[in-house]
Amino acid sequence: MATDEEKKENLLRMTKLVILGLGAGIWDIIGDGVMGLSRSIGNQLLPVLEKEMGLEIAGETPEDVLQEVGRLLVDEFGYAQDIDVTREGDTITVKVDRCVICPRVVDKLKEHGVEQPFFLCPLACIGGAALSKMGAKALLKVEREEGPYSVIHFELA
Amino acid sequence: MPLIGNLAEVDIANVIELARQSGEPGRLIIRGADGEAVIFVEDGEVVHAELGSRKGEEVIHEILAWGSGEFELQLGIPAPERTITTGWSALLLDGLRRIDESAALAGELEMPDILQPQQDEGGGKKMAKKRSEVLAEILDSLLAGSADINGAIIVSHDGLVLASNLPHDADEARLGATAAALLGLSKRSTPTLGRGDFTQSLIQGTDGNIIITSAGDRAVFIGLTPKDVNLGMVFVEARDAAEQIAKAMES
Repeated sequence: MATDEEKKENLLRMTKLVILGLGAGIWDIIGDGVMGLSRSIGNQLLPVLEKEMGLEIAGETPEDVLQEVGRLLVDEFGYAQDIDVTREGDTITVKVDRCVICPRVVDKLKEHGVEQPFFLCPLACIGGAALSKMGAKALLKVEREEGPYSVIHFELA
Repeated sequence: MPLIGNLAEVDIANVIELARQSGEPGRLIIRGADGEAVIFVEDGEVVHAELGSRKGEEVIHEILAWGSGEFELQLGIPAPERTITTGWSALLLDGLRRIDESAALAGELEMPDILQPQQDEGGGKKMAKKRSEVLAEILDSLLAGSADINGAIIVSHDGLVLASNLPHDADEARLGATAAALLGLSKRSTPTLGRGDFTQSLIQGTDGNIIITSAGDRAVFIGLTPKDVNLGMVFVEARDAAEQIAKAMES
């Protein structure tokens, strides 16, 4: 019989496998439409950052909101080593250094043939939901760069 | 008493539809820039058409492209002969398809004015409109000119509602996610079932229809109609709107 520590590890592993199975299954059925789920996922996560971690959206610029979302994900969740937010025209770019989700989920989903695995990216999901809440419409585009970086583009419409 | 009207106010396909639904034999005279066409309807079908020396289906194909002129519908007049045996729905769809093809070949699918650079009074360029404003104008223009589409939404592939003009309130986040999923499902279904690439899908409800059309590789156009509308015309309007949206998304 597993120890309590082993049970925790097994439960975590099972949860991860369920997420991978869910992601791959949805991709099989609706293809590119999976990106439409990102804001719904973001709408579930956003209240946690607002109510429990002090995220404020009202009165901020879109880039400041994304900077704060990124900071909370790094400091409170250990989501990545660091993030860098820049804005050029209507495009806000968030560069993520050593995202822990990418190798554990995104790359695994790619191995299962999921061509748009970033619909589960927490920063893209929460960032998109936060921008929608402040009335900014932003198209999402996420890329995995060579090396430790992934890049999320929020293109303001 | 004849029914008289102007094609600038009523689409020619809808005039023919009206003649068909009267249930009586009838003669429809259409006076356009290219001459006077006469169409006869019996038992709910178009049975004869003539324009100058030409007769039959080719006349219908031509007049469907007329955007201006006057019409006069006289009921109770039987057809002098029968030169058309194809059902109206097939005739209309074929005619509209030909219009689409010829317009595309001639490069006549012009960019709408709202996509052109705006000039101020001094001839200089005004600040470009935001994309969301351009998309909203495309929807406003479509709904103002369409007899059948009474609601429309433009959604990005990632589920963002870029513009909407709906006859009722809707939860935009949910609407966007649903639209993106419907598009994804449609795009998956056509090749899986051996129907090639996805172009358009129709969902019919008890109170109306939903037409989903891919608008380039970044957006989806969704049109809403009441039930019992001319779907052939709606499909063409939806495709035209989708082309304008695709151009706006690229700009």
